[in-house]
Amino acid sequence: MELGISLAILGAGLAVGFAGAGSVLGVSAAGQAGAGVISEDPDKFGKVLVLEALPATQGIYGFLVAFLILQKIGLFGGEIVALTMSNGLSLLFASLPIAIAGFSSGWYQGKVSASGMKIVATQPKAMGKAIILSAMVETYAVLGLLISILLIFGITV
Amino acid sequence: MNSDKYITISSLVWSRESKMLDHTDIERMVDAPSFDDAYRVLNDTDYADNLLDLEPAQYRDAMRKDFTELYEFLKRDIPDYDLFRLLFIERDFLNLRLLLKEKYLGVKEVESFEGETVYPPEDIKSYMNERKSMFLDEKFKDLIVAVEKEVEANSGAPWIVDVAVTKAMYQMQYEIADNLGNEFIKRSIQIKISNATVIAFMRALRFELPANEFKKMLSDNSFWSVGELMTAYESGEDGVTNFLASYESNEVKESLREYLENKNLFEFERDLDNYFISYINQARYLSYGPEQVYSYFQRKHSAVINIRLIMAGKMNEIDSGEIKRTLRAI
Amino acid sequence: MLADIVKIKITALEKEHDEILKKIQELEVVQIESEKDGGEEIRSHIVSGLDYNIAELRFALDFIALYKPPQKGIKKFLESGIFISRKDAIKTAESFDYQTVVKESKDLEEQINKRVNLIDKNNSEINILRPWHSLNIIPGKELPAGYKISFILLSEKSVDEFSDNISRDLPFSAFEKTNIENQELYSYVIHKEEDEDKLKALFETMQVREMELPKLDMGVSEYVENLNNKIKESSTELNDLKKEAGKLSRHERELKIVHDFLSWQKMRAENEQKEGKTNSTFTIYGWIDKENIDELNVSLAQITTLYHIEEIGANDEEVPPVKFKNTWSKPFESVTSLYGMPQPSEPDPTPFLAPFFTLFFGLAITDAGYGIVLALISYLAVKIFKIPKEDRGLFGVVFWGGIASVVLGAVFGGWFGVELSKMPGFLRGPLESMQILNPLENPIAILYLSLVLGIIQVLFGLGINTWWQIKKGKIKSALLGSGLWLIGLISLLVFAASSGGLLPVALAVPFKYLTLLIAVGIVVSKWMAEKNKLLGLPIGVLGLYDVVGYFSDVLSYSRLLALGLTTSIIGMVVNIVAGLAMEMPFVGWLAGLLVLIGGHVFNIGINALGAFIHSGRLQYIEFFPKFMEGGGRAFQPMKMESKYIQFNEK
Repeated sequence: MELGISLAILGAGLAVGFAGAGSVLGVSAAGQAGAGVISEDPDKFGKVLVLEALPATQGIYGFLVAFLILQKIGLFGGEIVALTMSNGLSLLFASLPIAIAGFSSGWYQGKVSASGMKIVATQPKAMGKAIILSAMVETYAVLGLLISILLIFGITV
Repeated sequence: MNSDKYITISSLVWSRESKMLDHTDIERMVDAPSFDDAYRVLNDTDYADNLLDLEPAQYRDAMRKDFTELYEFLKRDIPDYDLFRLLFIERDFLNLRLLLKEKYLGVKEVESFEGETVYPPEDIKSYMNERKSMFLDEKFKDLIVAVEKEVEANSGAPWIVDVAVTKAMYQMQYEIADNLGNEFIKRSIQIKISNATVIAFMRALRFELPANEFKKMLSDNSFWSVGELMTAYESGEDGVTNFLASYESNEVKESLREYLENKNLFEFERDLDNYFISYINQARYLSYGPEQVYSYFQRKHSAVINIRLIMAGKMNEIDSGEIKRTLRAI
Repeated sequence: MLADIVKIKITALEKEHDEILKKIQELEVVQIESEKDGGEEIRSHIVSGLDYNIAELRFALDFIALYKPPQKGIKKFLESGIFISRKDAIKTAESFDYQTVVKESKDLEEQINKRVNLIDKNNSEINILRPWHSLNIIPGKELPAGYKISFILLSEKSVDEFSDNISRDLPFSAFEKTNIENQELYSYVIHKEEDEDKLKALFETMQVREMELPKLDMGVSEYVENLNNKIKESSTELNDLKKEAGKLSRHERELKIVHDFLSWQKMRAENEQKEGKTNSTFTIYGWIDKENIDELNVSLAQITTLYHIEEIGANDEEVPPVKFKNTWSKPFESVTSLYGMPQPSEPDPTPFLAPFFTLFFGLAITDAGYGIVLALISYLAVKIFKIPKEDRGLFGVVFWGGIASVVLGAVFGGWFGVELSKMPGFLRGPLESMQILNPLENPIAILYLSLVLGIIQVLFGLGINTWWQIKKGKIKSALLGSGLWLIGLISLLVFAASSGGLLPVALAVPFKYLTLLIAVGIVVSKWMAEKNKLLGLPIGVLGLYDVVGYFSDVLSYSRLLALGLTTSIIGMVVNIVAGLAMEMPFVGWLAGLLVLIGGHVFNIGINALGAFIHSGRLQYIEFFPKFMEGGGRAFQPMKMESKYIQFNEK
């Protein structure tokens, strides 16, 4: 296998690994806070779940980008594309926006979600605001995803 | 200090806080036409579960049950043993005081030991008598020895027991807070010590205590060094106005001015307490972390004080306005 | 649209008070305000008493829920509410003797707690005594005069040394080993009383811990056996008690009805405190939708002729509550209220956001298959679970969002993530003929589409602001503020488009100057609005910076592309993985099926959530601030608010 292919695979790994790690940190922080709310108030499970699920999307974005890269280099059935070194590097770099933005936004969105549990605990009716606060952080993962996708589509191999 | 491990307990605390006694409840209690009506307001708060089978006159039992629950909850869920100790160690010192009084003054009050302590009182006793204990940590043991020494050096005068125990307690609390490494909590302990120092200062002035006696009452770790305090003491009441600047609070300064005019120490003390609570309340603007637990505990504490004040006032049919003047901020 | 909320004053005779208040509660149209200005009312005995009863009921219900036999699967879901008519509910509540059930629950709880505590206590005693089970003496038994016993715990390693020390220093002592556990020896020393100090010193140096044992009148193992028997006995009793508690669940329905019944009473009692009273009359002040006054009149007339309803003007400090009154866009009120209510003086954004929200939701899904599933689920959920009218909003929004996804999915060729070229022949033709654009091949087109939608919504927001201010008579501020921006931005866009070749180049120059002119206009109007004319100029110039805000608002809409792509690509991934699973020998079809169903359900769930949140966010952050601030308070009429009951009549 050429080095180009390996670099592209590294890119896919970074995308799914880092964005996923961000989501892991985020969802677990929100989940811990949610467990506290639920143990006092089991009726709030639905609300807590929504807030906990928010930082989960970064992992999916990373997965998505990884998948696009793997598909681009033909790892799913069909023939593996002969990738030049520079093509491989390009794909690797293309994965970075979502890898970095996904990791940090997943993590910190989780923190906002965990703090948002305060709203769920004390003012459940204002929960929509907690969701919006948390979703603000996600914006940057979405932008990272967008650029990663456009870059991958744009690279001709 | 890692506040991430406080995520769960913070959200538990938030859930509980929404049910706590709030301003409206207090107003309603104070304005209630009778003792029984004031008692019923508690049904709307987190005390409700503990009220069901109790008569209004037994409200103290409800408070006690609630406090036991709080203790069990915090003991189980606080991730740092040190924070738990910080919250409840005060009660161990109360027990220590009882034991010292028993040992040196022959007053037997073992029946009134405080529950919800960090260490079993029997263990403290066995350490005092036989230097044998299973649970006490080194710092606490050292403090017991130091307190005993101080009491003996002053030939067991009753007041020295209180003074020495209080000093030891502040020393221990400060040290634990320092170990915790949380600035918010550390500062709050400092405020508590400073408040006590200011009050002791005023009392000493009023009773014209000699400077060397006054010096024995001073704790380290207030806003001011012992030296500064002694200099201020020499210059009398004027001395205090200078160092109160450390409070950065106009209410406190205003309250001091009023005190100097009307000499009402009770109101001055209340205002200092309120300053402490207003500091604690700043934790509301913080996200999850040990501050949430700490401030919840302090607020529970001041809620209990208020309920006691109100209920006692209602029982003796004191005028609502009069009761309100005694209440602490929440 | 917002309803026209007015303040009214109802006066009637005190003797008909209860009936009238009940009627008002039943109609659910009046929000009662306190007659006194502000301040907390003293709680009446009635409210406190009801509180107490409700707390008791809640206790009994919680208690029963703890021990009731678990219900099975779907039944549990379907029986979430109690469907009953108003009349029957009241009849049941009035005739049911709930106090007895509450008392029974309390007694049972006490009994259960007693057993649980007993078991706990015995268990902890057993835990202390367990390591001493082979102790050959009875702890606490009298020793010969002058002798004492110490029970000790020491490390296994130091046993020999300790034994030597004892026999050397304390010749009249006996050191007996009992049992070794976790490398620690449980043992005791019998010694002379006068040797006590020596022994203690030895303990200290050898790090031996002294233990307290309870005084017993039998051997340890026998005692533990006894405790175990007691535990067994208590456990059996406990089980019986729990079964008994479970049986109480036969009253659950009635208890719930009484609970709600008392809540209605409490609500009336609370509102009664807000009334003004004389000896023979009472007065209610409240807010009402102007349209409902007639209905109120008709209903009250059935009770009595001696009443008076008068519309009074609200004073300046009073801000009326806000009530939505939308027809076709009703479900979308749930989107608006997630953000908060508009002020009574502001436009209701609901009808304006509805088409945008639906469109964005559809774009974020872009799969016709998923759209069908979402629309179907939200439609069926309302039917099957008999969702009450006021809670249907969210389902309506998802329903319309689903429909939008079907349309957009068809246009972009998304059908459960299956590539059209791989569709079976008979479907392929019609589906391909519907497809206009393939987002995976041409994402840039969708990006432009998203941005254009963004531009439209931002300009639309400015347009609403201008229109609303003109309607309110603030023509000057409308034209100089949002109106100027609206024209300015359009002119800027035309200039940009014509310079870029999208529009005739001839337009470029005139629109360049128009844009500049309006920019100057914006600066001047801001300048003039400032009191301090010296500071006003720089502030006016800085006002132009808002254009950056509009720019970033528009860019924010690019998320629609990302969200749409996510849905379709993950759908494809699910299909690919399912295809791989199919190739497994023997169970392949099953594994493939599971992956297909699970994967697509997951994808629908996570992306519907994302679509909802991000479409909402575009409304709240990019759209609303153009024309409203929010912060109104919702109209909350006195209702028969129920936790469990749903009325089955209209």
